[in-house]
Amino acid sequence: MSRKELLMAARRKGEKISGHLAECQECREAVSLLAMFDMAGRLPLPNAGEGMIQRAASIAMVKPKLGRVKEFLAELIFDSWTVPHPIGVRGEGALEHRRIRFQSESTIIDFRAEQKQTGWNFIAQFGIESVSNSILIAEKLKLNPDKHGICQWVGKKPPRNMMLLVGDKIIKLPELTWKKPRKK
Amino acid sequence: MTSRTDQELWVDILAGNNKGWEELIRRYQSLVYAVCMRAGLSMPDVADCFQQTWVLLYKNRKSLKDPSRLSAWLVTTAKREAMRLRKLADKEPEDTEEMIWKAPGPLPDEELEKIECQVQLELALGAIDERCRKILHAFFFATEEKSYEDIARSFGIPANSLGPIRRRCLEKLKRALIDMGYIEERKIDEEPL
Repeated sequence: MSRKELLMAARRKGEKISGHLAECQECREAVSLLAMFDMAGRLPLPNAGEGMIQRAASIAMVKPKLGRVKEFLAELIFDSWTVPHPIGVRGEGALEHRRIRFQSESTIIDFRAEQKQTGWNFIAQFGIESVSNSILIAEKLKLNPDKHGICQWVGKKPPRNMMLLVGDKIIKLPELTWKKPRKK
Repeated sequence: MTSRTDQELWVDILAGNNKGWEELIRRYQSLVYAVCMRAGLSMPDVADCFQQTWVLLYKNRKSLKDPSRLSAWLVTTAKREAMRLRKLADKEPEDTEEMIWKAPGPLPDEELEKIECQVQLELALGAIDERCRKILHAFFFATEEKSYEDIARSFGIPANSLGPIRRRCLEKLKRALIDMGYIEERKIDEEPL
Protein backbone atom coordinates (compact mmCIF):
# COMPACT_ATOMS: atom_id res chain seq x y z
CA MET A 1 0.00 0.00 0.00
CA SER A 2 1.23 3.52 -0.72
CA ARG A 3 1.82 6.00 2.13
CA LYS A 4 -1.22 7.97 1.06
CA GLU A 5 -3.41 4.85 1.15
CA LEU A 6 -2.15 4.02 4.64
CA LEU A 7 -2.89 7.58 5.81
CA MET A 8 -6.39 7.44 4.31
CA ALA A 9 -7.03 4.05 5.91
CA ALA A 10 -5.87 5.42 9.28
CA ARG A 11 -8.49 8.16 9.08
CA ARG A 12 -11.38 5.83 8.18
CA LYS A 13 -12.25 4.92 11.72
CA GLY A 14 -14.94 2.29 12.21
CA GLU A 15 -14.94 1.04 8.62
CA LYS A 16 -14.65 -2.64 7.83
CA ILE A 17 -11.18 -3.75 6.78
CA SER A 18 -11.04 -5.27 3.34
CA GLY A 19 -8.71 -5.97 0.43
CA HIS A 20 -4.97 -5.94 0.97
CA LEU A 21 -5.25 -4.48 4.46
CA ALA A 22 -7.28 -7.46 5.64
CA GLU A 23 -4.48 -9.80 4.68
CA CYS A 24 -1.42 -7.74 5.55
CA GLN A 25 -0.58 -7.69 9.26
CA GLU A 26 2.33 -5.26 8.72
CA CYS A 27 0.11 -2.74 6.93
CA ARG A 28 -2.52 -3.03 9.69
CA GLU A 29 0.13 -2.23 12.28
CA ALA A 30 1.33 0.76 10.26
CA VAL A 31 -2.26 1.97 9.89
CA SER A 32 -2.84 1.48 13.61
CA LEU A 33 0.19 3.65 14.49
CA LEU A 34 -0.81 6.26 11.91
CA ALA A 35 -4.30 6.36 13.41
CA MET A 36 -2.84 6.98 16.87
CA PHE A 37 -0.31 9.50 15.62
CA ASP A 38 -1.89 11.38 12.73
CA MET A 39 0.95 13.87 12.26
CA ALA A 40 1.26 14.32 8.50
CA GLY A 41 2.38 17.85 7.73
CA ARG A 42 2.76 18.93 11.36
CA LEU A 43 5.66 21.19 12.26
CA PRO A 44 8.02 20.41 15.17
CA LEU A 45 6.89 21.80 18.53
CA PRO A 46 8.81 24.84 19.77
CA ASN A 47 11.30 24.50 22.63
CA ALA A 48 10.82 26.55 25.78
CA GLY A 49 14.46 27.60 25.89
CA GLU A 50 17.12 26.94 28.49
CA GLY A 51 16.23 29.90 30.70
CA MET A 52 12.64 28.74 31.26
CA ILE A 53 13.72 25.11 31.74
CA GLN A 54 16.29 26.08 34.35
CA ARG A 55 13.78 28.26 36.14
CA ALA A 56 11.30 25.37 36.31
CA ALA A 57 14.05 22.97 37.39
CA SER A 58 14.90 25.25 40.31
CA ILE A 59 11.43 24.69 41.83
CA ALA A 60 12.68 21.45 43.35
CA MET A 61 15.87 22.90 44.76
CA VAL A 62 16.33 22.58 48.49
CA LYS A 63 16.24 25.84 50.43
CA PRO A 64 19.31 26.55 52.56
CA LYS A 65 18.72 26.04 56.27
CA LEU A 66 18.43 29.31 58.10
CA GLY A 67 20.87 29.92 60.91
CA ARG A 68 23.83 28.41 59.08
CA VAL A 69 24.05 30.99 56.34
CA LYS A 70 26.49 33.88 56.12
CA GLU A 71 25.19 37.11 54.66
CA PHE A 72 27.16 39.49 52.44
CA LEU A 73 26.20 42.72 50.74
CA ALA A 74 27.47 43.13 47.18
CA GLU A 75 28.71 46.48 45.95
CA LEU A 76 27.57 48.15 42.75
CA ILE A 77 30.69 48.70 40.67
CA PHE A 78 29.24 49.57 37.26
CA ASP A 79 25.91 50.85 35.96
CA SER A 80 25.53 51.72 32.27
CA TRP A 81 22.76 54.19 33.13
CA THR A 82 25.19 56.36 35.02
CA VAL A 83 27.69 56.61 32.16
CA PRO A 84 26.95 58.16 28.77
CA HIS A 85 26.82 55.81 25.76
CA PRO A 86 29.58 56.32 23.22
CA ILE A 87 28.20 58.06 20.10
CA GLY A 88 26.47 55.64 17.75
CA VAL A 89 26.15 52.77 20.27
CA ARG A 90 22.56 51.64 20.76
CA GLY A 91 20.89 48.40 21.84
CA GLU A 92 19.69 46.32 18.89
CA GLY A 93 15.91 46.57 18.69
CA ALA A 94 15.62 47.26 22.42
CA LEU A 95 13.50 50.05 23.87
CA GLU A 96 15.75 50.20 26.89
CA HIS A 97 18.98 48.51 27.86
CA ARG A 98 20.96 48.44 31.11
CA ARG A 99 24.11 46.66 32.25
CA ILE A 100 25.03 46.47 35.89
CA ARG A 101 27.95 44.81 37.66
CA PHE A 102 28.17 43.91 41.34
CA GLN A 103 31.00 42.55 43.39
CA SER A 104 31.19 40.78 46.71
CA GLU A 105 34.68 39.66 47.69
CA SER A 106 35.84 37.59 44.69
CA THR A 107 32.34 37.08 43.25
CA ILE A 108 31.40 39.22 40.25
CA ILE A 109 27.75 39.38 39.18
CA ASP A 110 26.90 40.79 35.76
CA PHE A 111 23.29 41.70 35.12
CA ARG A 112 21.79 42.78 31.80
CA ALA A 113 18.23 43.98 31.26
CA GLU A 114 16.69 44.71 27.91
CA GLN A 115 13.21 46.05 27.35
CA LYS A 116 11.45 44.83 24.21
CA GLN A 117 7.95 45.52 22.92
CA THR A 118 6.74 42.32 24.60
CA GLY A 119 8.42 42.74 28.02
CA TRP A 120 11.84 42.57 29.62
CA ASN A 121 14.60 40.05 28.96
CA PHE A 122 17.15 39.48 31.71
CA ILE A 123 20.50 37.75 31.86
CA ALA A 124 22.54 37.37 35.02
CA GLN A 125 25.96 35.80 35.00
CA PHE A 126 28.13 35.11 38.00
CA GLY A 127 31.72 34.11 38.19
CA ILE A 128 31.58 31.45 40.89
CA GLU A 129 33.06 27.98 41.04
CA SER A 130 30.09 26.00 42.36
CA VAL A 131 27.28 26.99 39.98
CA SER A 132 25.40 23.75 40.66
CA ASN A 133 25.11 24.81 44.29
CA SER A 134 23.72 28.29 43.66
CA ILE A 135 20.35 29.97 43.21
CA LEU A 136 19.58 33.50 42.10
CA ILE A 137 16.48 35.01 43.66
CA ALA A 138 15.02 37.89 41.68
CA GLU A 139 11.97 39.17 43.58
CA LYS A 140 9.88 35.98 43.95
CA LEU A 141 11.62 34.05 41.19
CA LYS A 142 14.13 31.35 41.99
CA LEU A 143 16.57 30.61 39.20
CA ASN A 144 19.40 28.16 39.05
CA PRO A 145 22.22 28.91 36.62
CA ASP A 146 23.36 26.73 33.75
CA LYS A 147 26.86 25.23 33.75
CA HIS A 148 28.30 28.57 32.60
CA GLY A 149 26.80 30.40 35.57
CA ILE A 150 24.12 32.11 33.47
CA CYS A 151 20.45 32.65 34.33
CA GLN A 152 18.02 33.94 31.70
CA TRP A 153 14.42 34.89 32.21
CA VAL A 154 11.70 37.22 31.00
CA GLY A 155 9.28 39.39 32.94
CA LYS A 156 6.87 42.28 32.81
CA LYS A 157 8.90 44.43 35.20
CA PRO A 158 12.60 44.59 36.05
CA PRO A 159 13.52 43.33 39.55
CA ARG A 160 14.32 45.73 42.38
CA ASN A 161 15.64 43.13 44.80
CA MET A 162 17.93 40.25 44.00
CA MET A 163 20.13 37.93 45.99
CA LEU A 164 22.43 35.06 45.20
CA LEU A 165 22.60 31.94 47.34
CA VAL A 166 25.88 30.05 47.03
CA GLY A 167 26.11 27.10 49.39
CA ASP A 168 25.81 28.56 52.88
CA LYS A 169 26.37 32.13 51.66
CA ILE A 170 23.77 34.76 50.81
CA ILE A 171 24.97 37.65 48.67
CA LYS A 172 22.43 40.46 48.73
CA LEU A 173 22.54 42.90 45.86
CA PRO A 174 21.81 46.58 46.49
CA GLU A 175 18.20 47.55 45.72
CA LEU A 176 17.82 48.71 42.13
CA THR A 177 15.81 51.67 40.99
CA TRP A 178 14.53 51.74 37.46
CA LYS A 179 14.02 55.45 37.09
CA LYS A 180 16.55 56.51 34.51
CA PRO A 181 18.73 59.45 35.57
CA ARG A 182 18.12 62.58 33.51
CA LYS A 183 20.73 63.49 30.92
CA LYS A 184 22.69 66.60 31.77
CA MET B 1 18.17 9.52 25.52
CA THR B 2 16.75 7.66 28.45
CA SER B 3 13.78 5.36 28.05
CA ARG B 4 12.67 5.49 31.68
CA THR B 5 8.92 5.58 31.97
CA ASP B 6 7.14 8.50 33.58
CA GLN B 7 6.27 6.25 36.52
CA GLU B 8 9.95 5.45 37.08
CA LEU B 9 10.85 9.11 36.90
CA TRP B 10 8.03 9.93 39.29
CA VAL B 11 9.39 7.51 41.91
CA ASP B 12 12.69 9.40 41.69
CA ILE B 13 10.97 12.77 42.06
CA LEU B 14 9.00 11.64 45.13
CA ALA B 15 12.29 10.48 46.63
CA GLY B 16 13.57 14.05 46.27
CA ASN B 17 15.86 13.46 43.30
CA ASN B 18 16.33 16.84 41.60
CA LYS B 19 17.85 15.26 38.52
CA GLY B 20 14.64 13.28 37.99
CA TRP B 21 12.63 16.48 38.24
CA GLU B 22 14.82 18.22 35.65
CA GLU B 23 14.62 15.16 33.37
CA LEU B 24 10.84 15.30 33.54
CA ILE B 25 10.84 19.01 32.68
CA ARG B 26 13.14 18.41 29.70
CA ARG B 27 10.90 15.55 28.57
CA TYR B 28 7.71 17.61 28.54
CA GLN B 29 8.95 21.21 28.18
CA SER B 30 7.85 21.47 24.55
CA LEU B 31 4.41 20.09 25.44
CA VAL B 32 3.77 22.67 28.18
CA TYR B 33 5.37 25.44 26.16
CA ALA B 34 3.28 24.67 23.07
CA VAL B 35 0.01 24.72 25.07
CA CYS B 36 0.92 28.06 26.71
CA MET B 37 2.31 29.53 23.50
CA ARG B 38 -0.72 28.71 21.36
CA ALA B 39 -3.20 30.15 23.84
CA GLY B 40 -2.54 33.65 22.53
CA LEU B 41 -0.58 34.99 25.52
CA SER B 42 2.14 37.63 25.53
CA MET B 43 5.69 36.32 25.97
CA PRO B 44 5.96 37.21 29.69
CA ASP B 45 2.59 35.47 30.25
CA VAL B 46 3.78 32.42 28.30
CA ALA B 47 6.78 32.29 30.66
CA ASP B 48 4.44 32.60 33.68
CA CYS B 49 2.09 29.93 32.32
CA PHE B 50 5.05 27.58 31.75
CA GLN B 51 6.51 28.17 35.21
CA GLN B 52 3.20 28.01 37.04
CA THR B 53 2.31 24.67 35.42
CA TRP B 54 5.49 23.13 36.81
CA VAL B 55 4.98 24.82 40.19
CA LEU B 56 1.51 23.24 40.41
CA LEU B 57 2.84 19.82 39.44
CA TYR B 58 5.54 20.04 42.08
CA LYS B 59 3.11 21.24 44.75
CA ASN B 60 0.69 18.42 43.93
CA ARG B 61 3.32 15.74 43.48
CA LYS B 62 2.26 13.78 46.54
CA SER B 63 -1.39 13.66 45.56
CA LEU B 64 -0.92 12.76 41.90
CA LYS B 65 -2.63 9.39 41.57
CA ASP B 66 -1.58 8.11 38.19
CA PRO B 67 1.89 9.19 36.93
CA SER B 68 1.28 7.36 33.64
CA ARG B 69 -1.19 10.17 32.85
CA LEU B 70 1.38 12.90 33.53
CA SER B 71 1.38 14.34 30.02
CA ALA B 72 -2.43 14.65 30.08
CA TRP B 73 -2.22 16.30 33.53
CA LEU B 74 0.32 18.80 32.20
CA VAL B 75 -1.82 19.63 29.16
CA THR B 76 -4.93 20.22 31.30
CA THR B 77 -3.05 22.31 33.87
CA ALA B 78 -1.20 24.39 31.27
CA LYS B 79 -4.49 25.02 29.46
CA ARG B 80 -6.18 26.18 32.70
CA GLU B 81 -3.21 28.40 33.55
CA ALA B 82 -3.23 29.87 30.04
CA MET B 83 -6.95 30.60 30.29
CA ARG B 84 -6.49 32.26 33.68
CA LEU B 85 -3.68 34.48 32.38
CA ARG B 86 -5.62 35.21 29.23
CA LYS B 87 -8.58 36.44 31.30
CA LEU B 88 -6.28 38.68 33.34
CA ALA B 89 -4.63 40.02 30.19
CA ASP B 90 -8.00 40.73 28.59
CA LYS B 91 -8.87 42.97 31.55
CA GLU B 92 -5.71 45.03 31.08
CA PRO B 93 -5.69 47.89 28.54
CA GLU B 94 -4.54 46.56 25.19
CA ASP B 95 -1.16 47.38 23.81
CA THR B 96 -1.29 47.57 20.03
CA GLU B 97 2.20 46.15 19.64
CA GLU B 98 1.38 43.20 21.85
CA MET B 99 -1.66 42.32 19.76
CA ILE B 100 0.74 40.84 17.22
CA TRP B 101 1.32 37.94 19.62
CA LYS B 102 -2.32 37.24 20.33
CA ALA B 103 -4.04 34.22 18.81
CA PRO B 104 -7.86 34.07 18.61
CA GLY B 105 -8.27 31.99 21.78
CA PRO B 106 -7.29 28.87 23.70
CA LEU B 107 -6.72 25.69 21.73
CA PRO B 108 -9.58 23.23 21.26
CA ASP B 109 -9.25 19.91 23.12
CA GLU B 110 -8.70 18.02 19.88
CA GLU B 111 -5.60 20.11 19.11
CA LEU B 112 -4.34 19.71 22.70
CA GLU B 113 -4.63 15.95 22.31
CA LYS B 114 -2.67 16.15 19.07
CA ILE B 115 0.09 18.13 20.77
CA GLU B 116 0.26 15.50 23.51
CA CYS B 117 0.44 12.69 20.92
CA GLN B 118 3.10 14.57 18.99
CA VAL B 119 5.30 14.87 22.07
CA GLN B 120 4.87 11.17 22.88
CA LEU B 121 5.76 10.20 19.32
CA GLU B 122 8.79 12.53 19.27
CA LEU B 123 10.00 11.12 22.59
CA ALA B 124 9.63 7.54 21.36
CA LEU B 125 11.42 8.44 18.11
CA GLY B 126 14.20 9.90 20.23
CA ALA B 127 14.64 6.52 21.91
CA ILE B 128 15.40 4.57 18.70
CA ASP B 129 18.47 4.60 16.44
CA GLU B 130 19.15 7.61 14.26
CA ARG B 131 18.48 6.00 10.88
CA CYS B 132 15.10 4.65 11.95
CA ARG B 133 14.30 7.93 13.68
CA LYS B 134 14.87 9.93 10.48
CA ILE B 135 12.95 7.52 8.25
CA LEU B 136 9.99 7.26 10.61
CA HIS B 137 10.00 10.99 11.23
CA ALA B 138 9.44 11.44 7.51
CA PHE B 139 6.91 8.57 7.48
CA PHE B 140 4.78 10.27 10.15
CA PHE B 141 5.47 13.97 9.71
CA ALA B 142 5.99 14.52 5.96
CA THR B 143 3.10 16.16 4.15
CA GLU B 144 0.47 13.80 2.74
CA GLU B 145 1.70 14.23 -0.80
CA LYS B 146 5.12 12.74 0.03
CA SER B 147 5.26 9.17 -1.23
CA TYR B 148 7.53 6.32 -0.13
CA GLU B 149 9.58 7.00 -3.27
CA ASP B 150 10.10 10.64 -2.22
CA ILE B 151 11.10 9.60 1.29
CA ALA B 152 13.43 6.85 0.03
CA ARG B 153 15.05 9.28 -2.40
CA SER B 154 15.69 11.86 0.33
CA PHE B 155 17.59 9.22 2.35
CA GLY B 156 19.44 7.74 -0.65
CA ILE B 157 17.70 4.38 -0.20
CA PRO B 158 16.36 2.36 -3.18
CA ALA B 159 12.56 2.63 -3.09
CA ASN B 160 12.10 -1.16 -2.95
CA SER B 161 14.30 -1.39 0.18
CA LEU B 162 12.23 1.10 2.13
CA GLY B 163 9.42 -1.38 2.90
CA PRO B 164 11.55 -3.84 4.91
CA ILE B 165 13.45 -0.98 6.61
CA ARG B 166 10.17 0.70 7.57
CA ARG B 167 8.87 -2.59 8.97
CA ARG B 168 11.94 -3.03 11.20
CA CYS B 169 11.85 0.62 12.28
CA LEU B 170 8.14 0.53 13.08
CA GLU B 171 8.79 -2.53 15.22
CA LYS B 172 11.43 -0.58 17.20
CA LEU B 173 9.13 2.41 17.54
CA LYS B 174 6.28 0.23 18.74
CA ARG B 175 8.57 -1.28 21.39
CA ALA B 176 9.72 2.20 22.49
CA LEU B 177 6.11 3.43 22.76
CA ILE B 178 5.16 0.38 24.83
CA ASP B 179 8.26 0.67 27.05
CA MET B 180 7.58 4.35 27.68
CA GLY B 181 4.01 3.53 28.64
CA TYR B 182 2.38 5.55 25.85
CA ILE B 183 0.61 2.60 24.24
CA GLU B 184 -0.41 -0.84 25.37
CA GLU B 185 0.85 -3.94 23.60
CA ARG B 186 -2.62 -5.32 22.96
CA LYS B 187 -3.84 -2.05 21.45
CA ILE B 188 -1.42 -2.37 18.55
CA ASP B 189 -2.20 -6.05 18.03
CA GLU B 190 -5.92 -5.43 17.91
CA GLU B 191 -7.71 -4.60 14.69
CA PRO B 192 -6.65 -1.07 13.79
CA LEU B 193 -9.90 0.44 12.63
